[in-house]
Amino acid sequence: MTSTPEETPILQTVEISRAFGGFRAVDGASISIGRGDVVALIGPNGAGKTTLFNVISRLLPPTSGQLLFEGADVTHTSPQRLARMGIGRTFQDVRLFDTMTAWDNIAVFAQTEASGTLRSGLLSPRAVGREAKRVRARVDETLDYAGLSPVAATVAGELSFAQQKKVAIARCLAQQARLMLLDEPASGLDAVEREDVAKIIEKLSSDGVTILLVEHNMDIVREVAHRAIFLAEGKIVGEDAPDRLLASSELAEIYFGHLRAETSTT
Amino acid sequence: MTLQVTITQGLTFGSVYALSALGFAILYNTTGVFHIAYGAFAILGFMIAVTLNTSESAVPLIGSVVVGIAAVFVVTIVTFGFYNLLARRGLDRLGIFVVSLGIAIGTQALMQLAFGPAIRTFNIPSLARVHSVAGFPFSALAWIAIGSAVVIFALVTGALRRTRWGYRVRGIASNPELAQLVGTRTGLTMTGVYAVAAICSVWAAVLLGMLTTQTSADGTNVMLLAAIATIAAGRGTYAGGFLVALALGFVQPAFSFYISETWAPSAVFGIALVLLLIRPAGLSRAGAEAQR
Amino acid sequence: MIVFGLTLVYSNITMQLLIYFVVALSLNFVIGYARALSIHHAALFGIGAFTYAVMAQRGWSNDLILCGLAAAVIAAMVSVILAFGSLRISGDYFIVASFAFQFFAIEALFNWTSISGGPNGDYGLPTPTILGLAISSTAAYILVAALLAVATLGFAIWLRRSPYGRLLRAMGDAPSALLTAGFGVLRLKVGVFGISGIIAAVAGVLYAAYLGVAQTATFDVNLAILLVAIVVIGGTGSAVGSLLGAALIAFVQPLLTNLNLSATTTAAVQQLIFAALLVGVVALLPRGLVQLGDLPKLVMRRSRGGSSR
Repeated sequence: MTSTPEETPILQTVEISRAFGGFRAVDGASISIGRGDVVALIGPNGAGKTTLFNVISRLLPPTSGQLLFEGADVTHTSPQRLARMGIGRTFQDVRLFDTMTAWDNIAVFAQTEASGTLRSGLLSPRAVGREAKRVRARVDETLDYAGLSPVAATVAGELSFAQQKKVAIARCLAQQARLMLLDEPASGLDAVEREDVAKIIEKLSSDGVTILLVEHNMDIVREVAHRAIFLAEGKIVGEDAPDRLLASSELAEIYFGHLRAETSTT
Repeated sequence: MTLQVTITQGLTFGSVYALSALGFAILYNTTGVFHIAYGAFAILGFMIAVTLNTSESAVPLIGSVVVGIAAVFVVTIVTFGFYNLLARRGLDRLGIFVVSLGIAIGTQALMQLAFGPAIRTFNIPSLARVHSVAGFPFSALAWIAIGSAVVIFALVTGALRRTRWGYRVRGIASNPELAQLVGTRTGLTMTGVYAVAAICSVWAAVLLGMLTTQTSADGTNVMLLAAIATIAAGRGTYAGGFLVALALGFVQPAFSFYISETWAPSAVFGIALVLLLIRPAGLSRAGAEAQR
Repeated sequence: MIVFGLTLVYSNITMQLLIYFVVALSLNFVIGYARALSIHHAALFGIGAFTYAVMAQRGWSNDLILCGLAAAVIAAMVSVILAFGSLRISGDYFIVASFAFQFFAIEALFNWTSISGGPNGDYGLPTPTILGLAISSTAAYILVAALLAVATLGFAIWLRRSPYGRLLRAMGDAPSALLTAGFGVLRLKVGVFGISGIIAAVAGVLYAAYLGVAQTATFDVNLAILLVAIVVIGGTGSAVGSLLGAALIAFVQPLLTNLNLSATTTAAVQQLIFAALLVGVVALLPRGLVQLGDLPKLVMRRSRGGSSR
């Protein structure tokens, strides 16, 4: 289901890099994601996957290189602008608004830009009412889609971890993101919960949302991703269908070598 | 005031601030706690020392200062034990900060009740006598302030770099959880840290009390200058904090000399404020966001 | 009206309660929503007081609305600068900057004797007017303060339910996630700092007009910390909490005065009480005294939940 060459990719990074001091966390990575794709970003810990996400969502400005969203150069666009343009993301550490209910968490992502101004409260009561109704409808619909309606009124900090992860995805949905960056959507979940999240991802994909995900669980990657990109030490070292990529003994050595070292320390 | 006076005063007060900043920085770097009560504790040590000391001879004088330091050392251990307890019970950084604020004003209030609101000074005329050197009016006290600051700084940073204790302190500063995991004896190591903090803060407060006067309520100023220097220099650098604090010591006399004496006290905080708002390049929004 | 029957002591308590409530609630917007521990609120309060003192003493105007507007403009400018600062520096760093501003502002005011009257302060301030009506009775002061309190409370209630308030809370919880929702943090911070500062300054105008004096010592770092204590003891993010905190200070002060201690001892004992409350509340009731209202619920949950936590 990769895009045809003449179609503009939804996301393109051109030789993008991000350095912290002398350390190049992302080092000249060029990726191209077609509309409707589900692409997994895999690689050992510290390979720069989350940094690449931070650069794509512009929470971190790239040190060099170019970022294109739907053909437009967004290298210097602010993160909030980019979010408005249609890029949504989740965080590895979830970052919900912990003191707010699941409903309110999602409402923040459904609100219009104008609601961020004090003036918005002084608009005509009718306009305020209309906007509130729109947000309510969108939030309820999103909660329903993600199967979160029963916990709508629960404070986010008190939800189960799996529910929190779902709220994070639902927030992207509420902002009508066309590209979602999901940072380890299945980590820390049990098998049943993982299957649940995989189903949501597949549903999103079939509804036309493009998805780029970081994931350590290879079952999930095989199940949902059309394509996988292998990142090691900030560089892209392989790109293929997940099965074929994972079958490559060389990459498996990098990946599982790291994984083994990791498990032995903890 | 002449230029020579300005430089002498700047060096003297700067050394005292630098000493105070060193104690604050080592606590902040190792525990991550923004110990607002630091200044109040320093004044507590000073108050104990000045109350105990009755003569001008060396032994009782030094003895009273040692008692003041020891008292603050104990209070610091108890306080940080309390912070740790609260942190283990899930209190966040802001909460611990507020507790520290409460301990600061509580200590201040207790001192008001115990020692009264009067201005106190460590008056040692023999030390305060000025011997001008090429127009620089250094007193024995000024030399003691500058000398002790340099010596204590050299000893502490030397110990941090060379000794096993220093190695452990640096380990705790860079990663407290890991230090605990690999079996660093954090309790014993931290006792050393609290001792350094008590020595630096109380000695600085005593010096200030000899150079000028102190009241029970002066702790916040002491803490604030130390905190500003620590922050402006950046976490983890002791020499940077020492130098920034030293520079802050020059602000007041220099401002009095060149601009206006009345406005000099506010200038210190004004300049510190500008420094805080403009200097932290590494603490820009992106940096702070990335750390989150 | 019942206020006419109150003795001077009780009207004084009422007035203190209302003013402290307004100041604490406005500080709570910053602490409770933006989660920035702002120490310099006392300075903003003081800026309002001296705005009235200067304008009234020099005969420019003793109209509360006009003076309130002037104070609001000054406080807004200061708050916006500090809001920008809080974007560059966060957490502990902001608190220290806020501390430094508190010291700087009061120290500078103290030295600027033509404005503040130096150590003596500005005294003998003329009684204020509102739209030409002289405010001469205590009841009238209480009425004006009550109006201000109701307006502030109204704003707090609006914040609680409005989409704008939702964004402010989100900013306090996870600013980076708010960016990914498409909202810049700058505008929100400037907004909440500005509103908070304006309300404090307006309260300061009324306070100076009521007392007839303005002294820099009133607005020093001790008051600054006391205000933070009121907010935290009552409960961050809770309007009821701010009312509880303000009531505490309004009643503790006259109770201590009754003990006939010296002024400094009274101040020290009061400080000690608030210090103990501050530490005790944060350690035992992280959400403040308002949490006591949940206690029955908590006990029930615990007895049902059995051994789990």
